Amino acid sequence: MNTSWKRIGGKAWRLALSILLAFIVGAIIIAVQGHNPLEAYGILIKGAFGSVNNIGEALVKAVPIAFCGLSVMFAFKCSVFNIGAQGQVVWGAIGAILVALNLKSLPAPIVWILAILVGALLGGIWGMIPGIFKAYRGVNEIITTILMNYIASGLLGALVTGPLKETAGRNPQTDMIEKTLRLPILIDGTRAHLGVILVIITAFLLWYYLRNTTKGYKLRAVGMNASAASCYGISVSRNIVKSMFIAGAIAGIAGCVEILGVQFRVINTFGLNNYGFDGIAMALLGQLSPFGILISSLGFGLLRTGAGTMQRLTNIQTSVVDLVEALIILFIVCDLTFNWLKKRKKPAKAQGVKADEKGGAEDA
Amino acid sequence: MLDQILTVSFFSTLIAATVRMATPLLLTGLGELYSERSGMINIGLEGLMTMGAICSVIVTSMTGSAFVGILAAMVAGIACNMIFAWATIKRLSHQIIMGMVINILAASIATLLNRSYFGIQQMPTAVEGLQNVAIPLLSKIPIIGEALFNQNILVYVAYLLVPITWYLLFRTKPGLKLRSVGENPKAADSMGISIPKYRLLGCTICGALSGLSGAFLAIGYMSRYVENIVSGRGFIAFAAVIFGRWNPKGVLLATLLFGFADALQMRIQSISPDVNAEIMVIVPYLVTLIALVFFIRKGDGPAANGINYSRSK
Repeated sequence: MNTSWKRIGGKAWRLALSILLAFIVGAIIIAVQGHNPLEAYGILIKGAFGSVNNIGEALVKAVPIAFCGLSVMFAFKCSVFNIGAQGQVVWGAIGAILVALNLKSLPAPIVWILAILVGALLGGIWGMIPGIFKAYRGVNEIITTILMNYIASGLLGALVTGPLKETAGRNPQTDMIEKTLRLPILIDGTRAHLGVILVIITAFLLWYYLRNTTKGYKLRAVGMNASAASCYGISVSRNIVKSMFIAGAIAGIAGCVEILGVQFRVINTFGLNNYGFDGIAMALLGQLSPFGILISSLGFGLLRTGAGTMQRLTNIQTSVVDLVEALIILFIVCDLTFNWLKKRKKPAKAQGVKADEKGGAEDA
Repeated sequence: MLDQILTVSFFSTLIAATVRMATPLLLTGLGELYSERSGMINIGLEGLMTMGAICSVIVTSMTGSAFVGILAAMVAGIACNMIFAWATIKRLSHQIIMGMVINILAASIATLLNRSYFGIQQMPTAVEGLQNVAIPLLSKIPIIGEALFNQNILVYVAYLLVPITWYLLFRTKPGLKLRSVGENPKAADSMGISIPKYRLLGCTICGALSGLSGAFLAIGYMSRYVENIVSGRGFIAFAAVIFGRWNPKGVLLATLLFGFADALQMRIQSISPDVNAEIMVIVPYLVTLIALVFFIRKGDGPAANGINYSRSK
C-alpha cells in the first residue's frame, strides 16, 4: 500500500512537472510574439474557470475527446492501435441523424436510446472491419484504420450532398433535428448536455469490465502476451475483433452525443473532426486509465476554452496553446521530466546530459 | 463522357498527373524504407512532411530562392525526426506512439509558424515555386514526353532515388549493416555494428526525404502553404512501404498505383462535374486499402521492425 501510494505520488509529480515545462515553453513563445505571458495565462485561466458558461463549454469540448480516448484505450488494452476513432465518430453521427430525422414521432428518450444504439452499432462495425483484417489477414491495423478515416469522411460528404442533403437550402448538410429531440442540458445557461453523464458512466463500465470480469481479463491477456493467452485457450483473433468492435462503438457514441447534444445536424466537414487524434492524446495523457482519460479530457477542454478567450482578448493565437498541448503529450510520453529529475539526484553521465540538452533545444 | 476519355490529351495529362501525384509519396516512402529497414517504424511521416512544407515556404519567401527553401525543408524534417530518434533510441519510447506524438507536435508547430509568419488570411500567400525543367529531346516524345520529362527538379530526384536506394541498401556495406540492424540487432551488435548509429542514420534519411516531400507539395506543386497540405499522404506513403514489400522497386510501383488512382479521380472530376466529387475523393484510399488487404503476405517486413533495442534486455 505504502509503496503504491508513493508511486502514484511520484507519477503525479512528474505529470505536474511536464505540464509546467510545456507552459514555460508556451510562455517563451508568447513573449517572443511581443505579449506578456503572465497576463496571457491570467486571461486563459479566467477564460477557463471565469463563469459557469465557460466551464460548461469546457465540458462540451471534453465529451467527444473523452469518448474517443476511452475507445483508443480499450483497443490498446488488447494491443490494438485504434487510430480510426475519427471515422467511427462519423458513423456514429450518421446513425444518430438517421434515427433522429426518421423517427421524429417517437418520444424523445426512445429516440435517444435508438440513436445511440444505431450509432454505436455503425461505429462498431466500422471499427470491426480493420479488426477482422488484422485478426484474419494480418494487415497492420494502424494503416487500415487511418485509411478508413478518409473513406468515412468521403462517404459522409457524399451522403450530405446526396441522399441526406437538407430539404430546404443548398448547403451540404442534413436537416436540423427537432428541438424536442435534443439531449437535455445539465446546467442552465450552458451547453453542457447529458453526454457528460454518459461518458462518466461509460468510463466506469469499461473500468469494471476490464478489471473485474473474466472477458475483460481475457482481452487484457491477449494484449499483454498473445501467444501465452492462446496457450490457455483464449482466442486471440476473436478478442482482437471484439476489442475493435467495442472501441468503434464507444467512438460511435461520441458522434451520437455530438450530433444530438451540440451540433443538431451533420455538416459535410464533420468528417474532418479531430476527435480521433485527440482521443489518442487523451489515452496517452490518461495513462490508459478510464478515469485518467476523463480528467485529461476535462483539462484539455478547459485549456481550449481558455485559449479561445485568450485569442479574442489578446490576439494571441490558439495555436500557441495547441503547441503547449502537444508538448505536454511529448514530455509525458518520453517521461522527460522523470529523466531530468533522476539526473539531478545522481551525478550525471556526460552522454545523458548531452542527449537532454539536445532534446530540450529541439522542443523549444 | 467516354469520348472525352479516349483522347490523347486525356492520357497525356493523366500520365503527367500520375507522375506528379506519386512524387511526394515516393520521396516519403523511400525515406520510410530506410527507416524501417533499420528497424524504426515511423508513423510520424505526416508530421515530418508538414514541417518540410511550412519551412520550405517560409524560407523561400524570405530568401527568394526555392533551392534554399528545399534545403530548409530537409533540415526541418531531420530536426523533427531527431526528436523521434532520441525518444525511441535513447529513451526507448514506443515507436508507434512516438510517431503519433510527432504528428501532433509537427501539426501544431506548423500552424503556429504559418499563422505568425503569414498571419491569418483568406487566401494563402503564394511564393515563387519550382520551375519545370524540360529535358532536351526526351521531352519531345509524343504523349509521354511532356508528361515524364517536363517536370520540376524534385520529380526527377524522386525517381532517380529509386535505383540509388536499391544500390545503397543492397549493394554497399553500410546498406548491409543498416539492414542487419533492422533484421537482427542482437547479432549485429555482437558483430560490432553500432545499433544507435545505424538507426539514427535511418531516421536522418527518413527526415530529410520526408522534408523534401513536404517541400515538393508546398513549393513544387501548390506554390503556397495551406493548412492540412499533406492530407494523409504520409500515411499512404507508410502503406506504400508495406505494400511495396520493403524494397525500392515495390515502393515505386505502389506509389505509382496510388498516384494513378489520385490522378484518375481528379481527371474524371474535371471532365464530368456531375459525378459526386466527395465519393471520388475516397478512390486512392480505397485502392490502398484493397491492395493491402488482398495482396499482402504476412510477415514480410524486417524482423526487428518497430522493436527498440537495448543491450540489457
